[in-house]
Amino acid sequence: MMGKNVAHHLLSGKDPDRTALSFLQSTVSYGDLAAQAGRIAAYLLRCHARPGDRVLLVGDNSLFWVACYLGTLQTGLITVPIPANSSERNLSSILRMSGAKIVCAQASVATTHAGALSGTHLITDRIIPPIPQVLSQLDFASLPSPQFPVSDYATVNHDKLAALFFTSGSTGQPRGVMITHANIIANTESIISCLSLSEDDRMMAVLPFHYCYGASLLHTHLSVGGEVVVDNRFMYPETVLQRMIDTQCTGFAGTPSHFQILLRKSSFKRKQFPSLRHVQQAGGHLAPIFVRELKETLPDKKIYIMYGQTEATARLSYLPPEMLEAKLGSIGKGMPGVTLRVVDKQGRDVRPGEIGEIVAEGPNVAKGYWQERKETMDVFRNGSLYTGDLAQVDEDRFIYIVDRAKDFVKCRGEKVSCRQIEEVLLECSEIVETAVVGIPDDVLGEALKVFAVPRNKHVDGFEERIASYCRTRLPLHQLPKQIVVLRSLPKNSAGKVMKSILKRHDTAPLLPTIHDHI
Amino acid sequence: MLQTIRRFVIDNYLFGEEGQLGDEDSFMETGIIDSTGILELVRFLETTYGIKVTDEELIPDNLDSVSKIVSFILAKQSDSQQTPHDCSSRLPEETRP
Repeated sequence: MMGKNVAHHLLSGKDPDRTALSFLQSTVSYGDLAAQAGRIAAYLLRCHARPGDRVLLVGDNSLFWVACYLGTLQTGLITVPIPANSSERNLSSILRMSGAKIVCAQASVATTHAGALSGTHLITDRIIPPIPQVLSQLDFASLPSPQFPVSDYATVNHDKLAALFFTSGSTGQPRGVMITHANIIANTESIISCLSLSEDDRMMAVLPFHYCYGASLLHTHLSVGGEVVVDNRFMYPETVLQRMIDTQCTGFAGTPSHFQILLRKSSFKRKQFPSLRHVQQAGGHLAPIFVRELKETLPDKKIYIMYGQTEATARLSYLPPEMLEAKLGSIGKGMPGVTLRVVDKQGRDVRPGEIGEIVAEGPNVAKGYWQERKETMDVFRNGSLYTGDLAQVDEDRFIYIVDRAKDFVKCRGEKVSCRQIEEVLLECSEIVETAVVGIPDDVLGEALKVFAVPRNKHVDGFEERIASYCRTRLPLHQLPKQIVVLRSLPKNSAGKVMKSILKRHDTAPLLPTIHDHI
Repeated sequence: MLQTIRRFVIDNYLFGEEGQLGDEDSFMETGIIDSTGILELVRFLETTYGIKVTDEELIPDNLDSVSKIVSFILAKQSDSQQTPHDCSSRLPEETRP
């Protein structure tokens, strides 16, 4: 079936004078945004790109980023967004895996990773010295004025790829998730419907757009004619909170890490947000203690707990805000258009209290992994996405995630969920964040190793106090064998804890412990 | 002080590559420190210089380069010498349950 491409879906029919994006120093109207995307589209066609070619996109959230993203989609090419802090090795590897010959790069990245860019057509956000061995090099400002009228979008088969989103690699090698134009449009419509978004909504975007959750903020708000306020300064949360107030944001979206920092390390609880209508939390599990604090902080705002995966474009479920307290800890049910089930090994729906795997069906389920046939067959079966997340349902079929299928440890013959231990640990007032992994153990089979970040600088005796706390709260088989105190947990650019690094801690102790500097 | 702070940033965020950091370089613009990294940095400053950084002080004007940090710490230390009940006494109550 032929249809609109994503750029058409997001940009056409909008009031050209209305603000689409707001940056620190400038605002960009829908008319301007369409024109800037059109300049990129014209550039890509001049590079002799053909439909289906991949275009790598690397940079922080900016007008250049959004223009390149939409311009690529506009011409029917496939965008491959990656984090601005990707290493040169990672950038090389994704260039090789995706086969991209055109690179849209933030100047700072292009300069530091010049060695990886040979043999590509390069466009940067600002002018930089010539990079050797590139096929061509241009900067955004030097592009000619728009040549592509806004109505001129490539018509695409709905099944055609729009993007390769490389998964965070928190559990292993990065894999390119193949997202179609139809996937993005379907997921965008679902999210808009359950959040009741309208053109009056103004979203504070601190999440990077290369991450599917961040991209979904862009998709949904542009689709309804709303506004996205871009702020890349979350490392200074006070500046973001003040900007939310000043720009009258109606929405905020974050991962657990964002909310933990706001609740524990900012003036969030003491500030008022009169324009705020809703907050969204996705991108991982926010421990119930933080959900309760969030509700206490924002008693009259809608709080949406959501669940998703890159393999499902972005989001799969939501918990209606009015159910937040009654169903605390639940990820809710499937979003409009998504069927979400929890099934046993025979594929039957589990009964309340039983554990099974979450399986999703819907028009947002991706086509598979780029050039990874076996992985695709394991995860995408008969049109369903096998998420690898283990869950239970209650009597009302609300879903509660127990853990990742691979995030269990078998201690003394009993299966122990790392996440449940982490939740108990987070209730200890001395801990800011924590992660639990399994380590081989001659006697137990596997034993638990706890990584904990202390709340304050008084770390003398911290390990002993945590061990003692565990003894009061956990059964014998769940007691940690080792406790390591870190200054922070290793995270990827989407804010997810990299357990793969923690598991290698003994063999590659690259993580500075708190004692290294005290 | 400048060298100590510089060393901390280089060792922890730049993998020891000294040449990449100017004293005026913005951490935010260069992208070398993220949101949890800045909390590590603050904890280091509190421990090393005996100051307390409030939530409201966690802003780019105070912390976004090696030079800004030095000025900020000197001002904090000077404040606390002038007022025996230093700024830590003005901290909000801990809100953690």
